[in-house]
Amino acid sequence: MSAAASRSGALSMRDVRKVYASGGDEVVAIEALSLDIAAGEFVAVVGPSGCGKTTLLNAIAGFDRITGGEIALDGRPIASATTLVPPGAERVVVFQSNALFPWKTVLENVAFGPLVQRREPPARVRARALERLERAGLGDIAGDYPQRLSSGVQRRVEFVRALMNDPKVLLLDEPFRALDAMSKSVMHEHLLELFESSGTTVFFITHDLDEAILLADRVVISTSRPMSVKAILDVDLSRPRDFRTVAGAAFAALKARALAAVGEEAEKAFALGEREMAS
Amino acid sequence: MKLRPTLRGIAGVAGFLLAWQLAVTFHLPLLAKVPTPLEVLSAFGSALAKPAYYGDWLSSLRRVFIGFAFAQLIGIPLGLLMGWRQRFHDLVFPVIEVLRPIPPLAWVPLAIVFWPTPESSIAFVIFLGAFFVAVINTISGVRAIDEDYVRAARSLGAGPATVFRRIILPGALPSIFVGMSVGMGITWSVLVAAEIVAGKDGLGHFTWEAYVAGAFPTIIVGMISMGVAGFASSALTRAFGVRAMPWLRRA
Repeated sequence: MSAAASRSGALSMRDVRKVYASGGDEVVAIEALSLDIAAGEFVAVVGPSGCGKTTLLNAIAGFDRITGGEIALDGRPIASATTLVPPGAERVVVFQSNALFPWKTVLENVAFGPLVQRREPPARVRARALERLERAGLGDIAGDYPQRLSSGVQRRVEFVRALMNDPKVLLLDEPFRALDAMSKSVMHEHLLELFESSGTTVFFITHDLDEAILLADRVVISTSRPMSVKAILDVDLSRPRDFRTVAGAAFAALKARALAAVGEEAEKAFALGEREMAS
Repeated sequence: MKLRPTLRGIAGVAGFLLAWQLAVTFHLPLLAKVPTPLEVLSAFGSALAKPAYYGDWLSSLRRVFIGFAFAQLIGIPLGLLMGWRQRFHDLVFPVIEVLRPIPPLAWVPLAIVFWPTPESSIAFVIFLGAFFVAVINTISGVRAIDEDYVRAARSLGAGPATVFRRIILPGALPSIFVGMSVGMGITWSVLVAAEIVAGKDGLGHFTWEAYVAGAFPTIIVGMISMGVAGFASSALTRAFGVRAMPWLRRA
């Protein structure tokens, strides 16, 4: 499709460092983190809670400055100690909890990005938004306000809203954290479907190892604070994937390898008095 | 529609009037000089026959409308800016916080001195009554907006002006309408006192004149008129709010 044709969305992080000043003390959140993500790749970052994953995502999104190093998108620096390219639709974020605007209908939410960017006439945006909703099986709720929808449906609408912008990178900050196990597994399939048909790069943060392996091309296991790359796992499971993938032997082997790396960090995090490790 | 609640409301009013009538008939202490509902009703009839009574209504409504409208027109944008930009808040908030506790009626003498006409000084005092409530509620409305909405909007390509118009304003709207409802209530209580001091007409003046003339039933006509006016304008504000915020309606 369109994004696949252009094949852009390569993220490169070089020696990223982030230091917070908190009441005279310096807290190092990220230290010497380097990671390259290819265009169209799905990368999941797994690490203990509070390890700095969200800090990194915020830096890529343009919400927050970094203290050192550089982050580049398709070769263009977007974050360093001196640069901060403000957030924009080439790097759309989906947060942990529902961030659909409650005062806008589902259709208005989905149309929001292209409308405020003023790149196409409003009538066309609306038509396109409706078409995308229908393709996702959400056409009949286009006129509803988000707060009347279940949290699973809200998530799906939010993904459609994000992908309406044909972003180079989709930044997902534990988007399924608040969902129950059933909706979670339904949502995994929706996301896989959307990803496999969009060709966008995905940077996915989670503390759920199963989820990371099921969804991603590569799983990055991070150290506990300060965050850096502990291990990288190539997930060579064929696509399209679905819920059956989790039951396979290949999946189990990958998980065993990941657990070894995660376990070490979990113990360290535990010793540091950090919060519990993911399941 | 909702027949039962309405019927209950009517029953409540009827019960109140009956209790009032009985209390006066049986000379309950302190109520000896209070006119009965029937006397008030007949005073109301004769008020309705006089054009001056309608003029009083119009004058009061006009003052409330002007003072209230200016309070919203200035208070809401000011509150939005204060809530949105911390530096602006730091600059303006101390002044607001010192002026806010001053009861609007304490402004009456000064208002009479520095506004050219009594009419404008009354409108000014009413303005004050609704203004600070509008500012404070708007600020807290902006503060209550989930930061993720702002971030999501920016990440979808919205610049600062768009964020202000499409996120900050609608996000603060529920709290702004709370401020409007409360402010509307305050304007009526301020209005009466301001009219007694500085007015030549209006419902407050009507009531005061009746007191001076010793026409007790007419005093109560004036009081009930203000109650009805206040109730009607609050209901109007609420209806306006429901229209402006369709997403809060229950399906």
